[in-house]
Amino acid sequence: MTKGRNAAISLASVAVFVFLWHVGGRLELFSPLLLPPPGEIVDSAAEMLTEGYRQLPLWHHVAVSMGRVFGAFIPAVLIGVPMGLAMGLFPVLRAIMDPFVQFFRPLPKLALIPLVILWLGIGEVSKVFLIFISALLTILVGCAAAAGGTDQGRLRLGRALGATDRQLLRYIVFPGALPEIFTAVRLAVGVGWTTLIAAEMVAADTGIGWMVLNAGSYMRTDIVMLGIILLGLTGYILDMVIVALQKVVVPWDGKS
Amino acid sequence: MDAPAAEAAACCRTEGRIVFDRVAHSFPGGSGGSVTEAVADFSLEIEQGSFVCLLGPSGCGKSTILNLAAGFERPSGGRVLVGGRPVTGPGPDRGIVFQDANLLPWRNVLKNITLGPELAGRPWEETLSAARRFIRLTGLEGFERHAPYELSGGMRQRVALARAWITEPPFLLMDEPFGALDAQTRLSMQELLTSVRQVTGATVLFVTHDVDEALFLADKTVVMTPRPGRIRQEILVPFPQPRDYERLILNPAFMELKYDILHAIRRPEYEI
Repeated sequence: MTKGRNAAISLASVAVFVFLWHVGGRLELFSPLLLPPPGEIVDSAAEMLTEGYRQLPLWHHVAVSMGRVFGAFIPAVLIGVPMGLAMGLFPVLRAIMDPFVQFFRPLPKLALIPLVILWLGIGEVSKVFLIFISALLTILVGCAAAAGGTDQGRLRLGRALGATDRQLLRYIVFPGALPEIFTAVRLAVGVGWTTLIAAEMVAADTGIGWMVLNAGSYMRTDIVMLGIILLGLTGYILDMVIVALQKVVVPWDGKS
Repeated sequence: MDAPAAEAAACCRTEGRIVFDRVAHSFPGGSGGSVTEAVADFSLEIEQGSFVCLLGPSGCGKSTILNLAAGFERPSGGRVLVGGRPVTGPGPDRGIVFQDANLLPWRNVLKNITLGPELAGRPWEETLSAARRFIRLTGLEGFERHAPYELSGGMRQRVALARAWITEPPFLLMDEPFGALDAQTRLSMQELLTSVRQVTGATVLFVTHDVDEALFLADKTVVMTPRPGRIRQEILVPFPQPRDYERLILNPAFMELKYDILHAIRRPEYEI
């Protein structure tokens, strides 16, 4: 009931915002060159769908950006989840890794760009690497906390039922950590998507992030806005996909 | 006669016994490196197949005694023997039921019950038929596919009991298993425990602070002193098993015993 009502309120709030934006544009309250009205952005979107941006169709830019994010994100999950869990379980490993993880995690990844270019060149590898490192650090921290916070009663139960260390990991620690692993992955998608812009500053000629930066230097604010809307929407959809997946995989989460 | 055989002969009746031999246990304290003495000079022998309740004021170390038998903690002094062997860690020979049912929320009722046999690598067919038997005994038929969060507190504790019973361990260690339940549910769980015990016949160590519960269930109750916990009094409960709760509480002998035990629990230290 309230869920449906809140969704309706959210939709209405967006509709009112777009309407005010449109009216403001019609009344010329702001320069269309600096803030193009919604109609103009829709027109540019239609144009980009048929003609593309810089000879490449719009979906191509979206696909390239998604490819970079997933190319970085999948290895980040595959490496980050087991490594993070291990850090949570073995204090020595955590002590070894923690200084590096805590140093790099809050570091603005833009600062790494010069080094990454020198080390990995200006190709795809350096773009994927930047996103990978951001996502990995987020996942490591989340998974270490998840494994370290395993319920003491459940561990005792497992031991009392004769579980070996491996069995404890498989039957107790890992499933118990899944909700928090999902949260870490969800945060990592956000961070990875955020780092995309930084990554596409590295000598790119495709991708939505690049499109936004490139259009900005030609004062094509309509395309900049379109790119921003696409980035926002895609991030939003990715998040919803993860939340939906979470409901399927850990339906018990949040229920006592 | 070689040494192991001599040893086996010497402790011929130790198989199903739990023995605490001058056990002491202390925890590192908070500040200043002080230690908290939880139990001191605790000696108790629990005979094979008997049901012993540990009673005492809260914080007297009842749970510590149980944790030592379970192998979750090592005594700082003395010995704990279960089945004639010193306890070196937790093991599936001792079924454990906590106050919190501690069900794994990602497994349904059936899969929670079969966790022990699964960890031991038992064949599924055998496990399933054992599970069916204990699901029937605990009155959980029809709930096999339910998730733990769909069950009431009493039902969850039934699952915890079935999970502990399914491997038919020779020892059961229970730490206030019904302490969080309402009075009605608690009574039906106590009756369940009594009736299943007629079938499985394990040696039970049961921690409680409820005197009625102890007198309904136990063959012997052991009253502990406040911290550091020592044994104040061992009291045999003479009523024949299985007991009927409604009749029991009207029995004058029951009331007198209850009075004695309450008095023993509440009596100040200096009167020992």
